[in-house]
Amino acid sequence: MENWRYIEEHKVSASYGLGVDEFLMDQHTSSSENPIYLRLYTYKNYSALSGRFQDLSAEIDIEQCNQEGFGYSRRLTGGGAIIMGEKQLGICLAAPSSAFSWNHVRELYELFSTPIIQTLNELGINASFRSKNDLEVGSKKIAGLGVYLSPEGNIQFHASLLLDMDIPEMMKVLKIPIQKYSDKKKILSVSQRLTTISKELVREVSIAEVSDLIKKNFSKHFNIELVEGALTSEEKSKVKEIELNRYLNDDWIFQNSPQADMTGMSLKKTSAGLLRTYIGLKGNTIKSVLITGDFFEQSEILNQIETNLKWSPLELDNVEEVVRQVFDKTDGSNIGMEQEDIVSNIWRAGQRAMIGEKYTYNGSCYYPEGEKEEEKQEVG
Amino acid sequence: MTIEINKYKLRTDLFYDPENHYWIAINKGVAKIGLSPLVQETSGSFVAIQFNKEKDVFARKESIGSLEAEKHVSHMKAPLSGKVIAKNEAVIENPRLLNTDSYGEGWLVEIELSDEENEMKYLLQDEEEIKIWFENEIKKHEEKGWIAQ
Repeated sequence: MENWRYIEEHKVSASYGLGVDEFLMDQHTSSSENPIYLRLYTYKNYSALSGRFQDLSAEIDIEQCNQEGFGYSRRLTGGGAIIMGEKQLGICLAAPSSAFSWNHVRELYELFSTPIIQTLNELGINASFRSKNDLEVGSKKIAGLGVYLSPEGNIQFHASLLLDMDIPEMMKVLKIPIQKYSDKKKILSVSQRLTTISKELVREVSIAEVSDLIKKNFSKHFNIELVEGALTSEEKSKVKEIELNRYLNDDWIFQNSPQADMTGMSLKKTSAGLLRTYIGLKGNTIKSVLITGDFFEQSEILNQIETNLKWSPLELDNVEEVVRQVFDKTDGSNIGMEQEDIVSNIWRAGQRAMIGEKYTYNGSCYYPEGEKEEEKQEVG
Repeated sequence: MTIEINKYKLRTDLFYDPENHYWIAINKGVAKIGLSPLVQETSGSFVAIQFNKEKDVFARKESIGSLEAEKHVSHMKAPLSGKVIAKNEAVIENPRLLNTDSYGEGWLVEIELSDEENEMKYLLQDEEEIKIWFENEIKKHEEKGWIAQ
């Protein structure tokens, strides 16, 4: 039976957390003899981590982070900004890509997320892999996944599993496109889109309980033995170098992505009430959509549309197809509006983003002067 | 010449790097490079692309930049050694061109080759060879369920 090295660490800083992940991945370049590493760890409350190509200051409120004493940095993996802390479990697997039989990156996601899904199932949570590389329960996200393939041929798989989430704390530093909503509405909006292990089980669940299951399921799934091996002081000094060169380095943290981040919003009167759509674009790609309205409980249908649109092109055909497919799969009639209402509102928000009707998340032009007045003028 | 294999339109008048799924057009020692029609579909929507800003001369297999598609980040490895003399600004601005027009507006870079004589052996250039390679790749992808049959 093959041995993998197991590393467990808690309450680490943003730069150290990311630095160790990179250090472990690089070990397979320096020597092919090094084992595969599985690392389970938590960050100290809190660390805000942007995706590889995001505009960090558009996603994370740096001033607020400094005020709250939160750490922040940029990951190697893609996707959106996340908040990590003592109740969010980081799972990192570092290996040479030749260690597994795979030809397609989607296969890696499925391979490495299987033991995590098994863990959730054992806890009594019916979780599944979602096409855009998240794990979900119903239509709510419970874990985010990411894969980085290094030029040297190594893999870094990363998952952030939510045991619990203090949404108000998260909202303090993560800029989401409903910044001018009341706190209550913002919290509701986020809680309608993500869930946690504790929430699903209606009890507090410890990191140790989940870690033990994850270890067991990785061992079983890959038929390996996990051998504990904390980082030595020599290894930690190499991590320090990586932290200084990258994760604490402003050139890395605040680098500009060549693709512009744009945002747009649109309001539409429908038979069911006022529909609001917020959209975030990266170039021509939809990186986030938020469809909301005061008139209904957030439905699974809208969550599904948001999810399926994420990381897809801002093209009318695509938006129509995604909305149609979700309506076909579910009973779209019970949300009290037509597919066309949703499509046209998403499209309009996207067009506004493209033509530069940008709002800033933290400035007064985000959701311009007086929400009600604005609604009167904007409703299409 | 363009042939159709399944639904994919494959140009067989170009060279191909089978390891990285690049097409390569070579003219007077300059290689223009783009992604094969299979990889542009199976990777999902390209979101971001960034070329290496630190240097412009690369050995074969060195990273000339990185890109993100559906949450995975990977590197573009130079298929041949040489100096990058042009980067496609249109694709930098709109990485979706990699998905929508991989042989046209969605090209990646131009490299002035430094070791053409020794490195051409890594590329597929015979039409029949290209066809067989591509058919096998499609078969592999279909078996794994990554593309619809």
